[in-house]
Amino acid sequence: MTRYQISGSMIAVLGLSVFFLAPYQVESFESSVFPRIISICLVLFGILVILAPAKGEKQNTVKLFDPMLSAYFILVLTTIVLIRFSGFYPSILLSMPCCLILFGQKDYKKIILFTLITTGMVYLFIDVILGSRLP
Amino acid sequence: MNLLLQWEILFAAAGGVMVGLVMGAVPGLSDIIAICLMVPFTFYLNPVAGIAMIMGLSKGANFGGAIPAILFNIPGTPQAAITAFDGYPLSKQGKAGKALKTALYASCIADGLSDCVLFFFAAPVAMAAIMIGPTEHAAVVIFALTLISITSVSGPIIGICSTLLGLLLSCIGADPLTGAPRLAFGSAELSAGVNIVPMALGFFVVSEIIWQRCMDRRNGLSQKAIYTAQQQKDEDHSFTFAEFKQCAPAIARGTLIGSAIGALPGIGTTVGSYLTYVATKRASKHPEKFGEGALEGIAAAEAGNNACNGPNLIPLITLGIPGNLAAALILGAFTMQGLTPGPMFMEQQAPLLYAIFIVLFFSNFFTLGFGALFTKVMRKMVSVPKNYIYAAVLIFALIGTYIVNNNTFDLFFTFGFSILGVLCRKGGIPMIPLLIAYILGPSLELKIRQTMDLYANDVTIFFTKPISCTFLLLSLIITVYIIYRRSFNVKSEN
Repeated sequence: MTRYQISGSMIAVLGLSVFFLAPYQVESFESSVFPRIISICLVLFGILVILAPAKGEKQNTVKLFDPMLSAYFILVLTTIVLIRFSGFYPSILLSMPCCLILFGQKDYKKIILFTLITTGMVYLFIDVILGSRLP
Repeated sequence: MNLLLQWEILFAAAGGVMVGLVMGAVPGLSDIIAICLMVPFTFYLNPVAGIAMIMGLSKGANFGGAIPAILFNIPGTPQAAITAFDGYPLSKQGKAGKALKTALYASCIADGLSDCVLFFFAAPVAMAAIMIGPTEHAAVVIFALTLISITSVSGPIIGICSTLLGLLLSCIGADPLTGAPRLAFGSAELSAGVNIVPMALGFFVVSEIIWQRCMDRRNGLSQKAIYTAQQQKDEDHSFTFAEFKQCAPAIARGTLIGSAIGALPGIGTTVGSYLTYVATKRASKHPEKFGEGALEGIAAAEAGNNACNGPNLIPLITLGIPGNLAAALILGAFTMQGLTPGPMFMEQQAPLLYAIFIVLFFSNFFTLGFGALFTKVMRKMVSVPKNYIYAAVLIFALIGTYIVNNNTFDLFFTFGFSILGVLCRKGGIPMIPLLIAYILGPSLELKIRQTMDLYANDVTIFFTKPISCTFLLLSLIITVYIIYRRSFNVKSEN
């Protein structure tokens, strides 16, 4: 399967899901009309994508699971959870070094210096100049 | 003239442009956040100065967003995403200065010309605007979405899928007519819908950072190799008169399309930018160069984007309907000063309004001056190792998400959209049609349902009203033509 065919399949499945879910997630019939029409169109066009020849697209195995990609997403999610529980400044101090190490930086002095400078800039720009208090 | 010859007004305009440039250039701090944060200051100024500051913010941020789009392929504002199509490839060729200058001149010229459109055509356009009801508005939105879908690089069918996905995502939240929660799965946060800022930050900024890192690793590029490559480029930052002549038709096209799009409420600058880009590519003798660093591509995107600024005020001033966030805040500023925009506003407050129009025109010179200085500084950022830029931008993106609603839950929306952004890149689904459909979806549904309510569910009204019928037929004709041409090209190649 090419990547377009995989995309088309996922789009069609999404359309079907929304079509059957819509009446249970919507309070009135009028509110569900537009999402259901869109979901029907998604199913139809998803099938068209699967069937249509994609110009220049070779048979391709799409790598759905990529360890590094997952690691980056876990980093972002962890940062967000840290922000929720401890606030922005502790999160920046903890996650910025992890982020730079994951991105491949190895000079630890520069990492620490950059983290401190960024935290200072965030405080100066957001809290002091813009007056918007961060938790 | 007395209104204009006040230092307060010039300082307000200049200050607005400067702040807008900085805020627009930092991904995560978009024009929307800039305007929201600076509006309280405008209430202490006179009406002309207050509006000059807000419009200066909008103008500065509109250009400012192009800077990181060109340098790092990370748009500072959603509308700058199209500038990155050609800006970033040109920057990778060592011509970041040239790309930035092209964007700057195209922005200022198109913005200035569109301010002239505002000056001369506000009154007659107001007369025409009264004729546009919900039926015509819905038809125009369908036309815009059709054009954006079928001109997608990946193909018309996948482009339409992307648009439909955007429309589906826009259904999450509150019903635009009744306000009842829809597809919220019992979540109070989802009931309010997803704000465009967390969506755009996740979709374009966070996902782009993650994607670029993955691509660098996949291509086996070590940090040293990336850094060395960044340093070895010879900077070509000249922008010759011959290149300007080459870009002039794109700028003119952008001014016309952007002005027309800007005058229609709720359509938005991203549509103006994309339509101008597509039109310029089609009219070009070398369309194959678009996406590889074509100067006309950059000029078209920026001209289409910035030309919407001035005409955005037309529906506000003439009908009292704000067309975008900046216009909505200007409406607030007018109200605070005891002024009521609407059909009689032009007649009653003509000196004030024309003073505002003139200040808007001169603000473009501030954008030109400050923009030229700012881009010189920002060009140096290319020499900073990309990973440090990525890490800082990631943090600012999360901060920007929080600032919009002061709600940490929005960070999860940004995370979700970043996953969607990476999936779209992996699956070959174009992202611009999705974004534009997400922005226009609520408006489209509202206008269709209003039409159905007004005309007792008579669908044929879309084809009996002349303006509406024209736009829908145009959509159909263009769709059939594009699909036929693509099929013909595929058969010729086979």
